[in-house]
Amino acid sequence: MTNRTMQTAARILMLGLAYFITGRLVLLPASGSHITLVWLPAGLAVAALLRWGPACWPGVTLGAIAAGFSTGMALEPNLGIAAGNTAGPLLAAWLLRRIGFHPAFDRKRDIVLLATAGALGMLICATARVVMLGSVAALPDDRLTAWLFWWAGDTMGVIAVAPLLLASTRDEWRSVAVRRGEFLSWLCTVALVMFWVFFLSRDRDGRAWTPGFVSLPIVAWAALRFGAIGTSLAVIVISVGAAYATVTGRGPLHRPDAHEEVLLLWLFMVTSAVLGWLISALQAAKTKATGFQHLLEGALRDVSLGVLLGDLDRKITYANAGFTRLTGYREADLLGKVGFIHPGPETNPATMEKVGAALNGDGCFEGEILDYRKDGTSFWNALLITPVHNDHGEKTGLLAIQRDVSERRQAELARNDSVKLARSLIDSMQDGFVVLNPDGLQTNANPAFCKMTGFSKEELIGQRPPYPYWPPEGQERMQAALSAMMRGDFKPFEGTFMRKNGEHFPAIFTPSGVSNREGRFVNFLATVQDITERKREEEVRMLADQKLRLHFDRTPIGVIEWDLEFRVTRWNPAAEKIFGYTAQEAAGQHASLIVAEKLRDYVDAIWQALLARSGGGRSPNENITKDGRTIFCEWFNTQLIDERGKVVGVASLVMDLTERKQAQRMLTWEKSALEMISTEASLHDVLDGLMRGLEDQLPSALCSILLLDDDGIHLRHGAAPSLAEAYVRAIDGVAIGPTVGSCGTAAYEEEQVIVADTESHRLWEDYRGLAREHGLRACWSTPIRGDHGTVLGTFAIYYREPREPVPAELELIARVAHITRIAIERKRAEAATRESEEKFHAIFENASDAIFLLQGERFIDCNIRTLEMFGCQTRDQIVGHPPYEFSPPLQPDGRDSRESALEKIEAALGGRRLSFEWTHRKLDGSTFPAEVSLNAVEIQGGKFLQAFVRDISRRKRAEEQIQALNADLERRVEERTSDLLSANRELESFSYSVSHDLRTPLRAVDGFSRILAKNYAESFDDEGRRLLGHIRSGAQRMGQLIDDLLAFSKLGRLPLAPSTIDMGSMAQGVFDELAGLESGRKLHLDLHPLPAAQGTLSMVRQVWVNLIGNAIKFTKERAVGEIEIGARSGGDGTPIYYVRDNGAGFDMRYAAKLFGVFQRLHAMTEFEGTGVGLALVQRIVQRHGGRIWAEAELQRGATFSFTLPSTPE
Amino acid sequence: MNKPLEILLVEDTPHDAELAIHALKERDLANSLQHVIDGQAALDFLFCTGSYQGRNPHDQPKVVFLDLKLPKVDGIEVLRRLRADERTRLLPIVLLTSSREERDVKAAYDLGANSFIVKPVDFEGFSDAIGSVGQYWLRLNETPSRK
Repeated sequence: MTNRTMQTAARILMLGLAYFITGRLVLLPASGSHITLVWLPAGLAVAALLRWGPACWPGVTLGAIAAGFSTGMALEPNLGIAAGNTAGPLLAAWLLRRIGFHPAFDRKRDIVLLATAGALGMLICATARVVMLGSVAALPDDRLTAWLFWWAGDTMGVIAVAPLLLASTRDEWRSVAVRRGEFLSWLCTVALVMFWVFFLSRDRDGRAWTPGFVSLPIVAWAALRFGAIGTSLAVIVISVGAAYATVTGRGPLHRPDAHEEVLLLWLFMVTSAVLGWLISALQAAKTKATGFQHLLEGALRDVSLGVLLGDLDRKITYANAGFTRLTGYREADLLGKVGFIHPGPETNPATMEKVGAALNGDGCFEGEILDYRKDGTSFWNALLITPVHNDHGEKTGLLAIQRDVSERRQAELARNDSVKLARSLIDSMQDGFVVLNPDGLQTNANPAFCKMTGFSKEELIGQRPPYPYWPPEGQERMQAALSAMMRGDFKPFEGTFMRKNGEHFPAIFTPSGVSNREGRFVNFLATVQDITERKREEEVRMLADQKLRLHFDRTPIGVIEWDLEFRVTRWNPAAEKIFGYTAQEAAGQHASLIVAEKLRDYVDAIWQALLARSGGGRSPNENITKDGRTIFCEWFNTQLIDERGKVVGVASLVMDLTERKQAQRMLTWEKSALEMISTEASLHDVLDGLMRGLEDQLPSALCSILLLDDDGIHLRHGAAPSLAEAYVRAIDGVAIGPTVGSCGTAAYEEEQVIVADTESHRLWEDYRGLAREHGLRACWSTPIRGDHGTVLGTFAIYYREPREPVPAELELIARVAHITRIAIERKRAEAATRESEEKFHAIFENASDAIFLLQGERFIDCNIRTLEMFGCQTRDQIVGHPPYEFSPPLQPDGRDSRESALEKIEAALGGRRLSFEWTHRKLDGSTFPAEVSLNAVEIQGGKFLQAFVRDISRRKRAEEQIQALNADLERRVEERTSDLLSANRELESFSYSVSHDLRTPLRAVDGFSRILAKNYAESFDDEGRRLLGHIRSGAQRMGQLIDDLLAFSKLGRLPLAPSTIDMGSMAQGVFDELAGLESGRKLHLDLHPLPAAQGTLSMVRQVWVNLIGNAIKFTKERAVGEIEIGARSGGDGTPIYYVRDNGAGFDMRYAAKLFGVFQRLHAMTEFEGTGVGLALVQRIVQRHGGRIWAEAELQRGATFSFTLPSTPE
Repeated sequence: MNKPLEILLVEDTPHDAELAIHALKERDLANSLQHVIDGQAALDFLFCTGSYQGRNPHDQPKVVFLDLKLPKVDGIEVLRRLRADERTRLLPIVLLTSSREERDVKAAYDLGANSFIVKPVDFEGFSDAIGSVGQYWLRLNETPSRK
């Protein structure tokens, strides 16, 4: 069910209920009769059907049926009556709707319409009732009378109730509520009068009805004061009251004759109702008219127009507030006067004439006229004068409406002026001016443009692109510029235009646009400036400038110009080169840009002197470049003077003397360096001094020298006077390599390494933290090369900020490297010399031989041994004497000692190297055999003889003994050798036999027990089979033992074939192979890098097989067998390889037994094995000259270590 | 002998001989096997001399299992003589030995032995080795016909 249906249903119910209740109320006094004089439900029905629409008719029917039943009426008539009661109001409502009934009751017509329609509609109700009740004989005798009563009663019901319900709007009730005091007193009056008239008075003689009219003023009161509602109430109260009183036999209208009485009552009621309603309607109409007048007056008062009304004689009858405001005249000044307009001296008489005509009734005037106010000021008056007519079309007066339009007039005037001004400006412009519309149509061109192009205005206007002043060859470019303008891109455009005579000229085309409110361009304006002349001037100037520029640009001397604020105005390429700033960067910068903080005051003083023209012409000083270098410059400054002799700036010529200066300094440094080198100072002291000196030359640089160790791998600290000690320590001993900072790499690559920024350079990846820690950002390292190009060390310059060397610095570095090389080589040579001197001196003094020098035939120097040998105490006993003085007179061969000695000396001096046996004599006279070597040496130009004398008395004795021993030994060796050979042979054949003959019976044992077990299985019980198993495993073990033993014994015979072995991959390979056999075991190998070894491949492999195999075997009870293989450096540098496991280990007490053949530290049932493996390993290691040992702890794993010296056996 | 000869086993050790024959039997390879106990007997057999005079010289074995250590003439010598003779130059000869001596192996191959088997102590291994080799020479290998 929709809302609408719900509402309709609710209305139907409400209507039915209301109908029933009012019907019952009205029927009460007429109990027993079906006739009522005021059938209020009829009004209720009509009002409801009008307000809610005909759709709620069932409510009427229901209410009527209910009312009928309540009076005990039979079903049939009741239904008929109800149908009539429904049809009647429906007809009335339909009629009212059709004829345009308006329920406001402010028109007489509405009252009449309601009464008429009600009367017509009620005909149906009355007729229906008469017919239905007549059929059941429940009707009074006179049917016509009954019909009449019913009709009248129903009509009265409509007249009384319908207006109340229809007019019952909120506004109506409000107007009653406003006067509620009055309304209450009216109600009391009504009650009193009604009581008095209808209940107290009694008509006795037929004249007493008159007091009934007393009620009429009450109705009038209500109609006048309380509108439609009041009227309705009054009518209802009076009608119902009169009807009740009369029917109950009281009141002035009571008549013995019922007909008369009803007629009288009905007349009374109709009269009251019509009277009330007429008064009410009149009152409503009046109220409405008054309201409109008030509205009109208010509007005229507030409007900003001046409104005047006049009579036919042009006299003013009304002037609104707008007029008095506009003109300053008061109402009193105007009313009754002739004065619609007050013309003044400037008022146009022609216009005034037209106004006059209109005022005289001759048509209308509408126009603007200059009017004057009361105070004499004028204003533009937009005036309308029109005659006023009445309803019949007769002219009754004049209406004038005025408005002040001065402001608009002024604005218009101003606009006209500015347009004129603009036009004259454009016409008088020097530059051309054109106007184009959005289609490109040329709509205007000023005289200057015409003159410029040679075209007349007429020739130009109406042209479309290409315009005649576009040169044919430049049309594309022009079109592009034009399109840009059309798009709103208003950039000035320099192009070539063409005059009418074909002459081309350069011009600047500056466009702009005029847009409408929507932002669309409606016009394009452009100025065109002929720049032919300017171009020519520019060319001349350019030529002159170019020449000057050439000098300015090419000179190697910096040319800088300053304004009076000491700011750069010019800056030539040479200046760019010197200071690093481009002209663009320097322009407008203050001189402090290139002056160090500390020199600002000094430079300022020069500047002031220059401005005061009191000096400053030449100034050598330091400057700062863009990259922060300090350079030394020589300045020549000149004031720039304008034509009035005023200083307007300063021009400076500047030369960079840094390099020259630096070269001087470097020379000084080199000189002092060489001096330092030539002193006795140590290499480190010299290098330190050199670096200190260099740092003085290179402010903010930190210089260092590293020396390459003799091993050619490690860099050692050389000198670094300014580097932090921690840094020096960290670098000292670093191994060179391809990515070891600057120095390590430079030494490794033997090339200069320039790292401008350690933060970003890949070579410093490993040293970045260190550099950061010590605040080092740049490091340029250069290898110092000695003879044959070998690297001696590196020379490095560090900076604390990122920096790259300039060419001059690279040159300087090369020179420093050179000097450093000299220092290193020189000092090393010195050290070497000194060392060798000392060495030789020590050898000389400590030699077991006597060594001495002879000049001619005399001793000039000898060592201590000489003194001992010859039994002397001091050298003086020897020096100055000839050697034959320390000889017996005759030598064993019988020759004279002196003669023989001189002869040999002679021979030696002749260049021969002699070695001979000689018998010497000690100071005490005893002699001894000696072996003498004699050779000539040249020392500083002089020829000397050097002699070595060895006391061979002991050797002589030994020689004799040895000869005897040797003879014996040789014999013995021969015997032993043949023994050994035969033993070896025997051993060999023994092991050969063993390998064959010992195995054959074992195979028989194993084979037959196997066959027994297989083929005769049923003959054996479990024990038998177990024992057979023992036999087989015993035989197999024996076979294994024989194999191992053979391998072991063979080891002694196999020749060694050493080669270089990659131990790492061999260990890995062996592990992989062995671990592969151990499925189900968890084994983890930790293999460290292993140095290579020299050895016999198969044997060394056997070592790994046994050691790793053992490790795997003895870790079998561990969840994860952890095996570590590695190498460490032994005391003498030989690598020690080790295999460590986390296995069963062993008790160190039995360590000695470990490497014996058939020695086992574990029971067979724990770990299988023959006990030969480690013996084999030891044998191999020992044959290679190595050592093997083990460390272990029970259940804590074992470590086997071995060495393999590179030179085996 | 109704079947053509397949194997000549030259083995002095009776145990080894029996085991070898057992192993071959297990693989059904010993149906036609001649066993001699020294090098001389082997040579006599193959060259149809001595006690084997009158043997059909065309009835040669498909393979000879020759022990290295033999009384009288040892295996290497037997091999040398067989290879030297035109009639037996191509005869497949498998050397059996207990030794792993490198020089034996080298000598055997130098003289043209077709295989060299080290007899393991373990019978399974021994049986496998003998069996596989017999299988190979008797069943798989094609020998040049001797006409």
